[in-house]
Amino acid sequence: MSLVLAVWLVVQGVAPLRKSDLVRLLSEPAMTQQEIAQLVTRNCLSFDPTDRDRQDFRRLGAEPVVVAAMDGCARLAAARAAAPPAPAPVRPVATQPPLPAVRTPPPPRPSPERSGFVAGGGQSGPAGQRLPRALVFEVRDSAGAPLVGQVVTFTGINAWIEPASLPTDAEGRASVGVTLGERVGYAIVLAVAGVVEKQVAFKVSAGAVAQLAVACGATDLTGRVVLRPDTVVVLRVTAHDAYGNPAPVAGLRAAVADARMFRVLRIAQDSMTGTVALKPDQAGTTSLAVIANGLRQYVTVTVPPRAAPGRVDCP
Amino acid sequence: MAFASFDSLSDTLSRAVRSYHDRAAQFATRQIDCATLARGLIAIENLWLTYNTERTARMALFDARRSARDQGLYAGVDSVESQFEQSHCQRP
Repeated sequence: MSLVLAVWLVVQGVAPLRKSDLVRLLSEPAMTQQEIAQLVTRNCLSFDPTDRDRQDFRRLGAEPVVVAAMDGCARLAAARAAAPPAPAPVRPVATQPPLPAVRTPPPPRPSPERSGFVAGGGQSGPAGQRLPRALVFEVRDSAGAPLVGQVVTFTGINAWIEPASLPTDAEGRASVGVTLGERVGYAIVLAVAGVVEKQVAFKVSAGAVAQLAVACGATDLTGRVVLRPDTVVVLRVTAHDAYGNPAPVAGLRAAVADARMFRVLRIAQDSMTGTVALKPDQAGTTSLAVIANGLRQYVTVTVPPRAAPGRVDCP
Repeated sequence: MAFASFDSLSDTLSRAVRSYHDRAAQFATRQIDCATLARGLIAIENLWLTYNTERTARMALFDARRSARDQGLYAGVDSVESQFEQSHCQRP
Protein backbone atom coordinates (compact mmCIF):
# COMPACT_ATOMS: atom_id res chain seq x y z
CA MET A 1 0.00 0.00 0.00
CA SER A 2 2.92 2.30 0.50
CA LEU A 3 3.37 2.64 -3.23
CA VAL A 4 -0.24 3.69 -3.58
CA LEU A 5 0.28 6.24 -0.86
CA ALA A 6 3.34 7.61 -2.55
CA VAL A 7 1.65 8.07 -5.87
CA TRP A 8 -1.55 9.17 -4.20
CA LEU A 9 0.15 11.90 -2.27
CA VAL A 10 1.67 13.54 -5.27
CA VAL A 11 -1.16 13.32 -7.71
CA GLN A 12 -3.76 14.82 -5.44
CA GLY A 13 -5.08 18.05 -6.82
CA VAL A 14 -2.36 20.46 -7.85
CA ALA A 15 -0.45 20.49 -4.56
CA PRO A 16 3.18 21.38 -5.24
CA LEU A 17 5.58 18.49 -4.81
CA ARG A 18 7.94 18.43 -1.86
CA LYS A 19 11.43 17.06 -2.06
CA SER A 20 10.32 13.98 -0.13
CA ASP A 21 7.76 13.27 -2.88
CA LEU A 22 10.35 13.55 -5.63
CA VAL A 23 12.81 11.37 -3.75
CA ARG A 24 10.20 8.68 -3.37
CA LEU A 25 9.05 8.87 -6.98
CA LEU A 26 12.60 8.73 -8.30
CA SER A 27 13.58 5.82 -6.09
CA GLU A 28 10.80 3.45 -7.03
CA PRO A 29 9.74 2.11 -10.41
CA ALA A 30 6.08 3.12 -10.27
CA MET A 31 6.46 5.99 -12.73
CA THR A 32 8.71 6.66 -15.69
CA GLN A 33 10.93 9.73 -15.74
CA GLN A 34 8.62 11.20 -18.39
CA GLU A 35 5.62 10.74 -16.11
CA ILE A 36 7.48 12.29 -13.18
CA ALA A 37 8.42 15.25 -15.39
CA GLN A 38 4.76 15.67 -16.34
CA LEU A 39 3.78 15.67 -12.68
CA VAL A 40 6.43 18.28 -11.89
CA THR A 41 5.24 20.44 -14.77
CA ARG A 42 1.64 20.10 -13.67
CA ASN A 43 2.04 20.44 -9.90
CA CYS A 44 5.31 22.39 -9.67
CA LEU A 45 7.44 22.31 -6.55
CA SER A 46 6.96 23.68 -3.06
CA PHE A 47 10.62 24.76 -2.94
CA ASP A 48 13.33 26.30 -5.10
CA PRO A 49 15.81 23.47 -5.71
CA THR A 50 19.34 24.27 -4.59
CA ASP A 51 22.50 22.73 -5.99
CA ARG A 52 22.38 20.24 -3.13
CA ASP A 53 18.84 19.23 -4.11
CA ARG A 54 19.81 18.82 -7.76
CA GLN A 55 22.74 16.68 -6.77
CA ASP A 56 20.46 14.50 -4.65
CA PHE A 57 18.02 14.06 -7.52
CA ARG A 58 20.83 13.15 -9.90
CA ARG A 59 22.07 10.58 -7.39
CA LEU A 60 18.63 9.01 -7.57
CA GLY A 61 18.84 8.87 -11.35
CA ALA A 62 16.87 11.96 -12.33
CA GLU A 63 17.17 12.33 -16.08
CA PRO A 64 17.38 15.65 -17.96
CA VAL A 65 13.65 15.61 -18.66
CA VAL A 66 12.91 15.74 -14.91
CA VAL A 67 15.57 18.37 -14.23
CA ALA A 68 14.22 20.47 -17.12
CA ALA A 69 10.72 20.25 -15.67
CA MET A 70 12.04 21.46 -12.31
CA ASP A 71 13.87 24.33 -13.98
CA GLY A 72 10.77 25.26 -15.94
CA CYS A 73 8.79 25.30 -12.72
CA ALA A 74 11.38 27.55 -11.06
CA ARG A 75 11.37 29.96 -14.04
CA LEU A 76 7.59 30.11 -13.93
CA ALA A 77 7.63 30.94 -10.22
CA ALA A 78 10.25 33.66 -10.78
CA ALA A 79 8.25 35.17 -13.65
CA ARG A 80 5.13 35.26 -11.50
CA ALA A 81 7.03 36.95 -8.70
CA ALA A 82 8.49 39.56 -11.05
CA ALA A 83 5.33 40.23 -13.05
CA PRO A 84 3.96 43.80 -12.70
CA PRO A 85 0.53 44.17 -11.19
CA ALA A 86 -2.31 43.83 -13.64
CA PRO A 87 -3.31 47.23 -15.14
CA ALA A 88 -6.54 48.79 -14.06
CA PRO A 89 -9.36 48.02 -16.45
CA VAL A 90 -9.98 50.73 -19.02
CA ARG A 91 -13.45 52.13 -18.79
CA PRO A 92 -15.15 52.28 -22.19
CA VAL A 93 -16.60 55.61 -23.27
CA ALA A 94 -20.32 55.30 -23.13
CA THR A 95 -21.89 56.38 -26.42
CA GLN A 96 -25.22 54.72 -25.98
CA PRO A 97 -27.05 53.09 -23.17
CA PRO A 98 -25.99 49.51 -22.64
CA LEU A 99 -28.28 46.75 -23.70
CA PRO A 100 -30.24 45.20 -20.87
CA ALA A 101 -28.42 42.19 -19.58
CA VAL A 102 -30.05 38.87 -20.21
CA ARG A 103 -29.94 36.83 -17.04
CA THR A 104 -29.20 33.18 -17.68
CA PRO A 105 -28.84 30.72 -14.85
CA PRO A 106 -25.26 29.51 -14.42
CA PRO A 107 -24.68 26.02 -15.77
CA PRO A 108 -24.73 23.34 -13.08
CA ARG A 109 -21.25 22.51 -11.86
CA PRO A 110 -19.91 19.08 -10.97
CA SER A 111 -19.85 18.55 -7.24
CA PRO A 112 -16.64 17.10 -5.76
CA GLU A 113 -18.67 15.49 -2.99
CA ARG A 114 -21.21 13.84 -5.28
CA SER A 115 -19.00 12.92 -8.24
CA GLY A 116 -16.57 10.06 -8.45
CA PHE A 117 -15.85 6.55 -9.62
CA VAL A 118 -18.89 4.32 -9.20
CA ALA A 119 -17.75 1.08 -10.84
CA GLY A 120 -14.63 -0.67 -12.04
CA GLY A 121 -12.35 0.24 -9.13
CA GLY A 122 -10.51 -2.33 -7.06
CA GLN A 123 -9.57 -4.49 -10.00
CA SER A 124 -6.15 -5.99 -10.52
CA GLY A 125 -4.43 -7.87 -13.26
CA PRO A 126 -1.20 -8.69 -15.02
CA ALA A 127 0.92 -6.07 -16.75
CA GLY A 128 -0.30 -5.17 -20.21
CA GLN A 129 -3.75 -6.70 -19.74
CA ARG A 130 -7.05 -4.91 -20.24
CA LEU A 131 -9.18 -4.96 -17.11
CA PRO A 132 -12.32 -7.03 -17.54
CA ARG A 133 -14.73 -4.41 -16.20
CA ALA A 134 -15.13 -0.86 -17.46
CA LEU A 135 -14.18 2.02 -15.19
CA VAL A 136 -17.19 4.28 -14.66
CA PHE A 137 -17.05 7.88 -13.46
CA GLU A 138 -20.27 9.58 -12.47
CA VAL A 139 -20.75 13.34 -12.47
CA ARG A 140 -23.46 14.95 -10.36
CA ASP A 141 -24.15 18.48 -9.25
CA SER A 142 -24.42 19.62 -5.64
CA ALA A 143 -28.11 18.68 -5.59
CA GLY A 144 -27.26 15.15 -6.68
CA ALA A 145 -28.68 15.46 -10.18
CA PRO A 146 -26.67 13.71 -12.91
CA LEU A 147 -24.93 16.08 -15.33
CA VAL A 148 -25.40 15.07 -18.95
CA GLY A 149 -22.81 15.94 -21.59
CA GLN A 150 -20.15 16.88 -19.04
CA VAL A 151 -16.76 16.08 -20.55
CA VAL A 152 -14.63 13.83 -18.36
CA THR A 153 -10.92 13.55 -19.12
CA PHE A 154 -8.99 10.52 -17.95
CA THR A 155 -5.24 10.25 -17.49
CA GLY A 156 -3.45 7.00 -16.86
CA ILE A 157 -0.19 6.53 -14.97
CA ASN A 158 1.12 3.09 -15.85
CA ALA A 159 -2.21 2.59 -17.61
CA TRP A 160 -3.84 3.32 -20.96
CA ILE A 161 -7.37 4.65 -21.07
CA GLU A 162 -9.76 4.22 -23.97
CA PRO A 163 -11.21 6.69 -24.75
CA ALA A 164 -9.19 9.32 -22.91
CA SER A 165 -12.01 11.85 -22.93
CA LEU A 166 -15.76 11.61 -23.40
CA PRO A 167 -19.02 13.31 -22.37
CA THR A 168 -21.28 11.80 -19.73
CA ASP A 169 -24.39 9.94 -20.83
CA ALA A 170 -28.01 10.43 -19.75
CA GLU A 171 -27.15 9.02 -16.31
CA GLY A 172 -24.20 11.37 -15.88
CA ARG A 173 -21.75 8.54 -16.40
CA ALA A 174 -18.62 8.15 -18.49
CA SER A 175 -17.29 4.62 -19.03
CA VAL A 176 -13.78 3.82 -20.21
CA GLY A 177 -11.66 0.76 -20.71
CA VAL A 178 -8.40 0.44 -18.80
CA THR A 179 -5.36 -1.46 -19.99
CA LEU A 180 -2.74 -1.88 -17.30
CA GLY A 181 0.75 -0.61 -18.06
CA GLU A 182 3.94 -2.57 -18.37
CA ARG A 183 5.30 -2.09 -14.86
CA VAL A 184 4.48 -4.23 -11.86
CA GLY A 185 3.19 -2.25 -8.89
CA TYR A 186 0.27 0.10 -9.23
CA ALA A 187 -1.56 1.90 -12.00
CA ILE A 188 -3.35 5.15 -11.26
CA VAL A 189 -6.21 6.63 -13.25
CA LEU A 190 -7.11 10.29 -12.79
CA ALA A 191 -10.49 11.61 -13.87
CA VAL A 192 -11.16 15.32 -14.26
CA ALA A 193 -14.60 16.81 -14.80
CA GLY A 194 -14.62 20.58 -14.44
CA VAL A 195 -13.20 21.35 -11.02
CA VAL A 196 -13.60 17.77 -9.84
CA GLU A 197 -10.55 15.52 -9.86
CA LYS A 198 -10.54 11.98 -8.49
CA GLN A 199 -8.12 9.07 -8.64
CA VAL A 200 -8.34 5.32 -8.46
CA ALA A 201 -5.57 2.75 -8.17
CA PHE A 202 -5.20 -0.72 -9.62
CA LYS A 203 -2.70 -3.35 -8.62
CA VAL A 204 -0.50 -4.62 -11.45
CA SER A 205 1.10 -8.03 -11.17
CA ALA A 206 3.64 -9.70 -13.43
CA GLY A 207 2.29 -11.24 -16.60
CA ALA A 208 2.84 -14.78 -17.82
CA VAL A 209 6.46 -15.84 -17.65
CA ALA A 210 8.04 -15.28 -21.04
CA GLN A 211 11.69 -15.97 -20.32
CA LEU A 212 14.08 -17.47 -17.84
CA ALA A 213 17.39 -15.87 -16.95
CA VAL A 214 20.33 -17.85 -15.61
CA ALA A 215 23.16 -16.00 -13.89
CA CYS A 216 26.34 -16.83 -12.08
CA GLY A 217 27.15 -14.09 -9.62
CA ALA A 218 26.58 -10.84 -11.47
CA THR A 219 27.08 -12.43 -14.89
CA ASP A 220 24.08 -13.38 -17.00
CA LEU A 221 24.77 -16.62 -18.80
CA THR A 222 23.83 -16.59 -22.44
CA GLY A 223 24.65 -19.57 -24.54
CA ARG A 224 27.99 -20.72 -23.19
CA VAL A 225 29.77 -20.75 -19.85
CA VAL A 226 33.10 -22.07 -18.60
CA LEU A 227 32.89 -23.35 -15.02
CA ARG A 228 35.75 -23.39 -12.60
CA PRO A 229 36.66 -27.01 -11.84
CA ASP A 230 37.03 -28.31 -8.28
CA THR A 231 34.35 -26.08 -6.84
CA VAL A 232 30.62 -25.89 -6.37
CA VAL A 233 29.02 -23.42 -8.74
CA VAL A 234 25.68 -21.85 -7.84
CA LEU A 235 23.56 -20.53 -10.69
CA ARG A 236 20.71 -18.12 -9.98
CA VAL A 237 17.51 -18.55 -11.98
CA THR A 238 14.93 -15.80 -12.36
CA ALA A 239 11.76 -15.57 -14.41
CA HIS A 240 10.45 -12.53 -16.25
CA ASP A 241 7.28 -11.64 -18.06
CA ALA A 242 7.17 -10.17 -21.57
CA TYR A 243 7.92 -6.69 -20.20
CA GLY A 244 10.92 -7.76 -18.14
CA ASN A 245 9.10 -7.67 -14.80
CA PRO A 246 10.32 -10.28 -12.32
CA ALA A 247 7.90 -13.15 -11.88
CA PRO A 248 7.78 -16.04 -9.43
CA VAL A 249 9.91 -19.05 -10.34
CA ALA A 250 7.88 -22.26 -10.31
CA GLY A 251 8.78 -25.90 -10.77
CA LEU A 252 12.51 -25.39 -11.10
CA ARG A 253 14.49 -28.35 -12.44
CA ALA A 254 17.85 -28.80 -14.11
CA ALA A 255 19.12 -31.57 -16.34
CA VAL A 256 22.61 -32.32 -17.63
CA ALA A 257 23.14 -34.01 -20.97
CA ASP A 258 26.34 -35.75 -19.89
CA ALA A 259 26.36 -36.35 -16.13
CA ARG A 260 30.04 -37.30 -16.19
CA MET A 261 31.04 -33.67 -16.66
CA PHE A 262 29.18 -32.29 -13.67
CA ARG A 263 26.35 -33.11 -11.32
CA VAL A 264 23.39 -31.09 -10.14
CA LEU A 265 24.00 -31.07 -6.38
CA ARG A 266 20.85 -29.31 -5.25
CA ILE A 267 18.01 -27.12 -6.38
CA ALA A 268 16.29 -24.54 -4.21
CA GLN A 269 13.77 -21.80 -4.80
CA ASP A 270 11.95 -19.11 -2.94
CA SER A 271 9.08 -17.02 -4.27
CA MET A 272 11.08 -15.07 -6.86
CA THR A 273 14.45 -16.78 -7.34
CA GLY A 274 15.76 -20.28 -7.80
CA THR A 275 19.26 -21.65 -7.43
CA VAL A 276 20.97 -24.60 -9.06
CA ALA A 277 24.20 -25.85 -7.49
CA LEU A 278 26.54 -27.68 -9.85
CA LYS A 279 29.62 -29.76 -9.05
CA PRO A 280 32.04 -30.14 -11.98
CA ASP A 281 33.66 -33.58 -12.03
CA GLN A 282 35.40 -34.06 -15.33
CA ALA A 283 36.76 -31.89 -18.10
CA GLY A 284 34.58 -31.58 -21.18
CA THR A 285 31.63 -29.82 -22.71
CA THR A 286 27.99 -30.64 -22.33
CA SER A 287 24.59 -29.02 -22.20
CA LEU A 288 22.61 -27.92 -19.16
CA ALA A 289 18.86 -27.44 -19.39
CA VAL A 290 17.27 -25.22 -16.76
CA ILE A 291 13.53 -25.76 -16.64
CA ALA A 292 10.97 -23.66 -14.81
CA ASN A 293 7.52 -22.20 -15.43
CA GLY A 294 7.16 -24.52 -18.41
CA LEU A 295 10.15 -22.93 -20.15
CA ARG A 296 13.64 -24.25 -20.85
CA GLN A 297 16.87 -22.33 -20.97
CA TYR A 298 19.85 -24.18 -22.43
CA VAL A 299 23.42 -23.37 -21.52
CA THR A 300 26.46 -25.03 -23.07
CA VAL A 301 28.82 -25.74 -20.20
CA THR A 302 32.54 -26.32 -20.49
CA VAL A 303 34.61 -27.69 -17.61
CA PRO A 304 38.31 -27.13 -18.32
CA PRO A 305 40.99 -29.53 -17.07
CA ARG A 306 41.89 -29.05 -13.42
CA ALA A 307 45.59 -28.65 -14.21
CA ALA A 308 45.09 -25.74 -16.59
CA PRO A 309 41.69 -24.19 -16.09
CA GLY A 310 42.51 -21.01 -18.06
CA ARG A 311 39.78 -18.37 -18.21
CA VAL A 312 36.55 -19.25 -16.44
CA ASP A 313 33.25 -17.38 -16.44
CA CYS A 314 31.84 -18.78 -13.27
CA PRO A 315 32.23 -18.29 -10.42
CA MET B 1 16.68 -9.87 2.06
CA ALA B 2 18.02 -8.61 5.38
CA PHE B 3 15.67 -6.32 7.25
CA ALA B 4 17.78 -5.75 10.36
CA SER B 5 19.82 -2.90 8.89
CA PHE B 6 16.72 -1.46 7.22
CA ASP B 7 14.75 -1.49 10.47
CA SER B 8 17.69 0.19 12.16
CA LEU B 9 17.68 2.85 9.44
CA SER B 10 13.95 3.34 10.00
CA ASP B 11 14.61 3.84 13.72
CA THR B 12 17.29 6.40 12.94
CA LEU B 13 15.00 8.30 10.60
CA SER B 14 12.20 8.24 13.14
CA ARG B 15 14.51 9.63 15.84
CA ALA B 16 15.80 12.28 13.44
CA VAL B 17 12.27 13.47 12.71
CA ARG B 18 11.58 13.81 16.44
CA SER B 19 14.88 15.59 16.91
CA TYR B 20 14.04 18.02 14.11
CA HIS B 21 10.75 18.93 15.71
CA ASP B 22 12.63 19.59 18.96
CA ARG B 23 14.83 21.97 16.99
CA ALA B 24 11.77 23.56 15.44
CA ALA B 25 10.39 24.27 18.91
CA GLN B 26 13.70 25.89 19.87
CA PHE B 27 13.65 27.88 16.65
CA ALA B 28 10.15 29.14 17.45
CA THR B 29 11.44 30.53 20.76
CA ARG B 30 14.57 31.93 19.06
CA GLN B 31 16.92 29.62 20.91
CA ILE B 32 18.53 28.50 17.64
CA ASP B 33 19.04 30.20 14.30
CA CYS B 34 18.21 29.27 10.70
CA ALA B 35 21.59 27.62 10.11
CA THR B 36 21.02 25.18 12.96
CA LEU B 37 17.50 24.44 11.78
CA ALA B 38 18.79 23.92 8.23
CA ARG B 39 21.35 21.39 9.44
CA GLY B 40 18.48 19.39 10.88
CA LEU B 41 16.70 19.51 7.53
CA ILE B 42 19.82 18.30 5.70
CA ALA B 43 20.17 15.40 8.13
CA ILE B 44 16.56 14.37 7.53
CA GLU B 45 16.85 14.65 3.75
CA ASN B 46 20.05 12.63 3.63
CA LEU B 47 18.43 9.91 5.71
CA TRP B 48 15.32 10.03 3.52
CA LEU B 49 17.44 9.46 0.42
CA THR B 50 19.19 6.49 1.96
CA TYR B 51 15.95 5.13 3.37
CA ASN B 52 14.19 5.23 -0.01
CA THR B 53 17.10 3.63 -1.81
CA GLU B 54 17.13 0.78 0.69
CA ARG B 55 13.35 0.59 0.72
CA THR B 56 13.10 0.03 -3.02
CA ALA B 57 15.01 -3.22 -2.78
CA ARG B 58 12.75 -4.49 -0.01
CA MET B 59 9.29 -3.06 -0.56
CA ALA B 60 8.03 -6.17 -2.34
CA LEU B 61 8.60 -8.04 0.92
CA PHE B 62 7.07 -5.46 3.25
CA ASP B 63 4.59 -6.84 5.75
CA ALA B 64 1.68 -4.79 7.07
CA ARG B 65 3.71 -3.46 9.99
CA ARG B 66 6.52 -2.19 7.77
CA SER B 67 4.07 -0.72 5.27
CA ALA B 68 2.37 1.20 8.05
CA ARG B 69 5.68 2.37 9.44
CA ASP B 70 6.79 3.44 5.97
CA GLN B 71 3.70 5.60 5.63
CA GLY B 72 4.32 7.07 9.06
CA LEU B 73 7.90 7.97 8.17
CA TYR B 74 6.78 9.52 4.90
CA ALA B 75 4.31 11.67 6.78
CA GLY B 76 7.00 12.55 9.33
CA VAL B 77 9.47 13.73 6.70
CA ASP B 78 6.69 15.63 4.98
CA SER B 79 5.93 17.42 8.25
CA VAL B 80 9.60 18.40 8.57
CA GLU B 81 9.64 19.91 5.10
CA SER B 82 6.39 21.71 5.76
CA GLN B 83 7.78 23.19 8.99
CA PHE B 84 10.97 24.32 7.27
CA GLU B 85 9.00 26.03 4.50
CA GLN B 86 7.01 27.91 7.14
CA SER B 87 10.17 28.98 8.96
CA HIS B 88 11.12 31.28 6.03
CA CYS B 89 14.73 30.22 6.45
CA GLN B 90 16.79 30.01 3.28
CA ARG B 91 16.83 26.51 1.88
CA PRO B 92 20.27 24.93 2.31
